[in-house]
Amino acid sequence: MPKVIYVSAEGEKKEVETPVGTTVMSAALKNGIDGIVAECGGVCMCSTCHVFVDEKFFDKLPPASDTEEAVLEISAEERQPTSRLSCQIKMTDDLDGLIVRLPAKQR
Amino acid sequence: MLNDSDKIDYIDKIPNNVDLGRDKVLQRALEHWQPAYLNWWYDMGPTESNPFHVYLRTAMSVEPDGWAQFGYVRMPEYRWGIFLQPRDPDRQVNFGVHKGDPSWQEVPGEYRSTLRRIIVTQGDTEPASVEQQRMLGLSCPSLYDLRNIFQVNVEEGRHLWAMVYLLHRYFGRDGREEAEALLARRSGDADNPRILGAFNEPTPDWLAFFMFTFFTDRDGKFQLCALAESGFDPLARTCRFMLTEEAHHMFVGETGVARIIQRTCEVMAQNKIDDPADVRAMGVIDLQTLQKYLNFHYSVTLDLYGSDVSSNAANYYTNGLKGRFEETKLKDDHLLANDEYPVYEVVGDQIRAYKVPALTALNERLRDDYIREIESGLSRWNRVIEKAGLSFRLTLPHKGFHRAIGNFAGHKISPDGRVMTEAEWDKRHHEWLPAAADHAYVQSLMRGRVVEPGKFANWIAPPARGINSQPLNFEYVRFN
Repeated sequence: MPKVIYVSAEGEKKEVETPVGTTVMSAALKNGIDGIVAECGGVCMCSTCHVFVDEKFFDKLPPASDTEEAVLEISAEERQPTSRLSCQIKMTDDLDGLIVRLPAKQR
Repeated sequence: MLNDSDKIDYIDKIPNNVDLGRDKVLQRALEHWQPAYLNWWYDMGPTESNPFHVYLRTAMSVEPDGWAQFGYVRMPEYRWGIFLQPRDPDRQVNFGVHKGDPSWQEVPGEYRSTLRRIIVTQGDTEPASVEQQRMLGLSCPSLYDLRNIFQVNVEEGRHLWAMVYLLHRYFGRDGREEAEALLARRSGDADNPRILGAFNEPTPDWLAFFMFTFFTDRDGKFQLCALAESGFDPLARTCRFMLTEEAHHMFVGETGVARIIQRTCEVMAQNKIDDPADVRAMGVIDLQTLQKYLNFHYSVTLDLYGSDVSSNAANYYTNGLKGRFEETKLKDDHLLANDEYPVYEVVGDQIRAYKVPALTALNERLRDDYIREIESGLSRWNRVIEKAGLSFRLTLPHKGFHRAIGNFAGHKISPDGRVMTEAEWDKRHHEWLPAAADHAYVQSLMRGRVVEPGKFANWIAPPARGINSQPLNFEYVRFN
């Protein structure tokens, strides 16, 4: 099963096995990753599941939708070029080992 | 008024995950309440909006992968559904004297009246905000914004349904009477007002609406978060799902204010002006007026958290009815019997902190949690000003400024936290709070509505992107 590596703002790493088709947000919530809040329940309406995707993986992701781009504008920690909402990243085999860094704050 | 032909088949047409069709008692209760609700919507919902076809999202399930469905709908035909987060059979009461007990699936008899009061107070805010905002569709700055306010309105209606479901399902005749009363009170009515003060204040213009959704809907979020920790499991699960919708309301508020700031800054930078009179002459809202609105909405909302020291709040917590913000993430004993928390009081011309038992300071603690999140949003607004190269910064006034409830009530505190005399306050408060002239100016910008797809009023910038990946010139509302 492919893995996601969550890296907290303090640098702590946690590896989570994530079934294909599951979102990176959903896997975080199920595995007690503190830095993902997901206030809107994963429908791209808030920015509290904001992550910075490791550059090695960023280009492997489908591009962000217009809605995601809009919502990223209100992220608590200012968006960067590799910012994404983890509710919009669905796991694939190709993303095995995906590294996402969590911002220091989500609200 | 509702005609027979307008009646909805509540079993087929109310999306729900509570098995409505099998609960005959609940079914009869809703049969009785739903026509009254629709009559309330026709009377007090958005003015002159009933024929419009609005591009709305409707909650259809609680699944993270697409609980919402987008499409055109006439608002009276909106499918106000009833959704609870799925039940966790292992969930426990997580705080207070019942900590470790299985969470309650029925209302404990000894807490019946308290829980009913909590649910009624929360439920009362939902129709109240619809009533407060009902005239704003007549002065919308764009179709995009008109669609957003209607989305907020129908979802506040759904949140009323959520609370009414609990009243009907768990509180018998008393609950049904309370559900009727929720439709009888009116925001600002002298004889039968809404329960909480801020919900009787008018929302007279779009700046007030955006401020309301940023500040006051966020209070709603924090109250829902505290109730989502409740030992009464159906309340917790209901509130958990309501929070998912509330997130969009705050998005509307935060981005609405940000777009006004952005437009003002653009005009200031283009014309190299910073005098508020010059800014107003260009038909946009000066940053000083934005600051005054911010001061008003922030301070009025702080009052909603209640008294700084409250035995009611302590009882709610001790009895497992209402928790703290993110209770289960906090690392302590979840009893708080031996803990203290600082609150503030005015002594002479000084404001001093003193510690009280943490249990009695839970309102203050929730208010402090709220303030931290507000500070974060404010920094994003200031980012917009900073990017425009302007030195002005919006600030939050002192916690004691313009307060009517709690330890600061009856005292005059300046935005920078000085205790003032009544005379000094009378002389200066118009520097900090919107005066009649400020309201008049803002409302002068909002006469008539902008309804051409893709067009926006002069005083607000377009959003970065549309709703549900639709373009900005999408016909978000069809007037037919």
